[in-house]
Amino acid sequence: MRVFTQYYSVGKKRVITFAVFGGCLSVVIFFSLFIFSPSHSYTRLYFLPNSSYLEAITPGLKSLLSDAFYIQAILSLSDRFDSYRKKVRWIQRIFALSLVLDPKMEDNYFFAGVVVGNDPPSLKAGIKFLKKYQYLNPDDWHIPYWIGFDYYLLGDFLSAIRYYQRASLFKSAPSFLKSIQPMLYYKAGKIKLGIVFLEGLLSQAKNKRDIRWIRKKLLWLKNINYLQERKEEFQALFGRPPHSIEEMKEKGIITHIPSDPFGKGYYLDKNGCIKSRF
Amino acid sequence: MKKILSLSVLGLKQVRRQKLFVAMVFFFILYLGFCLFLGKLSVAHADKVLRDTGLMGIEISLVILSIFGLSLDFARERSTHTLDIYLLHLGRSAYLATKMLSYILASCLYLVISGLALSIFLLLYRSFTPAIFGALYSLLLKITLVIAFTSLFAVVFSSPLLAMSATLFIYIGAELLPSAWEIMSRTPNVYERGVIYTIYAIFPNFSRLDFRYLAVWGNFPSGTQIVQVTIYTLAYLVCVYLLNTIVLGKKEL
Repeated sequence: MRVFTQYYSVGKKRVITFAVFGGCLSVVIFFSLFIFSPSHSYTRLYFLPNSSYLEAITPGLKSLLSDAFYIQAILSLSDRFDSYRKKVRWIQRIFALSLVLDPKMEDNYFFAGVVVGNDPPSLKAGIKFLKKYQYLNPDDWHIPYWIGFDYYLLGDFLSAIRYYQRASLFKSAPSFLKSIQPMLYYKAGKIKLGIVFLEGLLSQAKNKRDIRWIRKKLLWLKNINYLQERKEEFQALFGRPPHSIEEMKEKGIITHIPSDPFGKGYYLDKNGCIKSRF
Repeated sequence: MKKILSLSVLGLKQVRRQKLFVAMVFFFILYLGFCLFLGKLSVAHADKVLRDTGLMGIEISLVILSIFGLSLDFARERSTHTLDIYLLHLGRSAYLATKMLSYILASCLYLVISGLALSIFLLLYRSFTPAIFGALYSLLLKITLVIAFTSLFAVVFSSPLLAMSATLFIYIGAELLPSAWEIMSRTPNVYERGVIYTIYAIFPNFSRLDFRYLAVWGNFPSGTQIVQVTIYTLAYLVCVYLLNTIVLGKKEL
């Protein structure tokens, strides 16, 4: 009987312990998930030290501090702010500090210049940031490329071309920076400029592969240019734009519709421009 | 209970006599000089910077005091066999309660000293706000959980270094968890989200316990907030304490 009572009391104690533990754990989980919900926003202190003071720090510490600011900026990407403008400004300030402390951390440019941009004002802020801090890495092709990319997202294709061209001039720049430009000329509606650019490239190209893609894109743009000129001729003759490329052929303005070496065929869009199907 | 309380007070006296306690007090006084420097660096918001950095200094020093002090204390008691005497006369759960309570009391004492020093400092630089006492209360709750975790790891690991590292990782992880959650909540991977969600539910929610962000702008936490964080901390404390008693009961010391 005594053994049973002892066993029973130990068992009872154990049950109570686990019940209390389970109860408290439930309270903790309930508070974590429902009371302190992750979406609960909070005010943060908008303070960062002046970069000119931080520049005076010894090189070893500079790198470490730069990492710390970099991590802080990355974490701030998920913070909630009153407005997106404020958020971009704050994040760019932290990335700028990290960059000033260690200019070789090029991902700072990427995040502060490209990742933060999701509407025209933030894209413009990204361009401003990249242009401002470009001086820290004058030999890095990524920075003009990212400026060009922001302009591309803004729909300013001519500015994008300008920066892609700058980026492509760097020794370490990849070849796509050149091959992508004809498409930008096409998007900007500057077909003739694209042809001039490709002819210039073709005259300098030595690699067979390069010559092949340049010729292909050159033919693509030349066809567009040819059809565009014939369309204007049609308009001059008939006093109205053609309804389609096929109509130009029916009326004898063109003898045949050229094949599209790059897209899936040419067509006349709503604005009367010759486009490629992709 | 009376035994636990009187031994806790004795433990508090021991902690107070430790070199680490005195070192932390001096560290905090020196740190106030650093706060002053940061305050000068900030062109605007100097008062807020002083409050924020000052409270941060208290937190850092208190975390060091609790983690290092308790882990080393436990290791010393184990190596000198004082632990055996305590366990023989007190029992395992009472011993743990005594240890934790004495460090919580020591943290209270440190908070009073550092809070007083910070208040005088802030008064001198016209940045004082009574709201810092709200932040100090939340800091006490936070440190209570740090102490609970330190005692748990001090029991789990034989090496004090491991215990300190584990508690530090928990502390840093808990501080960074809301940001990790925010980032991971956008991932399309359901499993990754689930893992972070589970960790978020179980890990101590330090960022929500912290009223520092309110204090730097001179705001007091609401009564509901105080009640919520107090309940949360007590529930968490009981959880870790019970877990600790189970571990201590199973472990060969």
